[in-house]
Amino acid sequence: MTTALAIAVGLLALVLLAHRDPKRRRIFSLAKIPVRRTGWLLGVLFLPGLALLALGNPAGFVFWLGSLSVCGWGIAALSPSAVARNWLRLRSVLTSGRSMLRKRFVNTLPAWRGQTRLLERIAACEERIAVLEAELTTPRPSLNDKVSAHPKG
Amino acid sequence: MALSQSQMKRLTAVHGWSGTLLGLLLYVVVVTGTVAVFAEEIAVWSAGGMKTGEPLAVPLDRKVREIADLQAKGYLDRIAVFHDARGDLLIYPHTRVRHPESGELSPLGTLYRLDARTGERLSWHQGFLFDHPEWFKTSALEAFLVELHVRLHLPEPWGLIVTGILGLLVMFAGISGVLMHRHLFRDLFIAERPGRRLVSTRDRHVLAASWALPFSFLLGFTGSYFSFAGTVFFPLLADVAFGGNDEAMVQTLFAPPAGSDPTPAPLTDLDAVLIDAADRAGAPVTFIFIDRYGRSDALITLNHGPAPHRLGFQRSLYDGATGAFLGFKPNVGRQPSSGATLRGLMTPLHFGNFAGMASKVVWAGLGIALAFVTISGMQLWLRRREADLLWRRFGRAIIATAYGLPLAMLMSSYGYFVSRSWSDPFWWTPVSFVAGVLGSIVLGWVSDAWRLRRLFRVCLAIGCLLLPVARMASGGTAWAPALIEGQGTLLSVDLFLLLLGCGLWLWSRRPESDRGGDTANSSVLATGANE
Repeated sequence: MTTALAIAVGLLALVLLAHRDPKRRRIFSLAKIPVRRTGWLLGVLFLPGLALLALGNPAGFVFWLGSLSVCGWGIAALSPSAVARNWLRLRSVLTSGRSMLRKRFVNTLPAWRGQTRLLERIAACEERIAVLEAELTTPRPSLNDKVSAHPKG
Repeated sequence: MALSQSQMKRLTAVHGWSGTLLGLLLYVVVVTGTVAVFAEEIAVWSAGGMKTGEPLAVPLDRKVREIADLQAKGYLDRIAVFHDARGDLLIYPHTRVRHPESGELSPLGTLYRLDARTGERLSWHQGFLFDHPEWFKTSALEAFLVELHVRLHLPEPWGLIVTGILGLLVMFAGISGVLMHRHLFRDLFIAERPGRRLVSTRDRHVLAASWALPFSFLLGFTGSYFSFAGTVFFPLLADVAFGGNDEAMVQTLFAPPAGSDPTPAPLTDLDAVLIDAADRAGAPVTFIFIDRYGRSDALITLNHGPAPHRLGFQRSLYDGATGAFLGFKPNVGRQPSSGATLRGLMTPLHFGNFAGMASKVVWAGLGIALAFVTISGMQLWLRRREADLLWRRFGRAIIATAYGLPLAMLMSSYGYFVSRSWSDPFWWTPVSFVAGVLGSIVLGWVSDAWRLRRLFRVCLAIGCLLLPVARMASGGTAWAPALIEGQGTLLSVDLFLLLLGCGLWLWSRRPESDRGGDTANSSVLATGANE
């Protein structure tokens, strides 16, 4: 039980660290958030593991470390756009489910499908915009560079 | 540690070339290792029987005594008591003699298979135990998959040496990767950048490698230790410290204390010993050795499963004549030492079986991460050389291996289930695997890259979905009786296969516009397709 609690706290800390990571925000063109110290988050991440060791639970410590390694990879591998897309999908599924229940199983499936398709198209457009922005930020030799590089004479 | 540009270039070349040359083999070892984490569950699932209760639970004393009384005195040097995946009790009274072929000391005796509940004798076999794995292994499938991970089915000692080198490669790749990638912590949350560019391929490799780094080092180290222990370390140790006498080394490091009193004496109450041992260790007994049965200096050694919150497995010793507890035996030698503790940690840290199914699932996740690092690393190397026709063909080989290995493993499962009712599954399981490998090579040769991936996913999906059906059709326990008897393993594995099959099916149906998302070097592979 203590191990499960330590893993849950560690996961929460990992999610917050990923959300606040400045390089991740810059690369994925997310709005800047005020710079805050993240030292306490690292403390929240590592202290439960150290507590497991201190409590004489080495198996729990290794299990905690392995779980955070696997889950940390999963959290970090999801790009913010993928998180947003999946969140939108989940929300639309939940909303549709609720409205379906409300309307006592009235046939709302086509509407839900249309909504999901629309959200998918929006997410695809966002991804395309991110690609184009990345291309624009890539430095290219400008005309002035070529002129200045040309030998004078 | 700052490296100069030329040092960095050399390190990148060694990191990349070593990964490229041995990457496909490493992938095979990693994926089979990921599956082998669940070896026990695969054995129970594929054995087709019904495990009811703990076979090594009391009452056991009468069953062991009846078998021991049948034996000639010369075969009572040691009695091994254990169980198989089907839940049958196995009792093997034996002595150690030189094997006529290998010249090594090997156990010779009679193996009895008993019904664990009633004690009824089901079968018996006489001879050298390790010449006949089918006597004590109920699942040829589990035996095959574990052997593939441990030795790649190469002859002794080359299989262990190759897997040991691959373990060292994992460690080297981890260290060199850290030196090459200076922003390890800064890039710890950088997901794959959009656009399917070179940097995107690099992102996915670096991200997985960074998170898997501590455990890749740990798994590589423990894996190479297990591979080299029998082939290099202990032969060297025997030469250096025991004048080349292997038997003296085994007696000193691993064997229980030698006997000194051959006076006849009855064995103590084994059931009382079992209850006391489980109580002291805080974990159930998994294996029993009785040395020098019927003598005053008889000794009972009991191996235990993992105790709660503990990493290392314990081994308790009891006086066979009086039943007195003699203590817990260290992993190496007879006195506790840091070396013995370290060696005791190797098994749980490599197998991940110290906290039941939960730790096994995490270890499987780490295995998947390592397999992903291996494949994405090769893809990154390939992406930088996409103009070369030879490298594009290598890209095809990566796809054929990445998907072909799981497909061949599924084929071996089908071979096992189909053959077990009418032929020798220990022969047909590897043959089916080879058929799966050849089929994957042919598919990789004739199809273009995108269709190839789609075809593999469809084949894998169908293979997973039909495997529970094949298991039940070949005499395995159906779901209803399994549910009534509380056969959680059977149902869990079947359910996992069905979910995996559905997931693979959905993956194979992904629209063409998403094709770049699944492999980083899709442009390479797409161009390779049009050669």
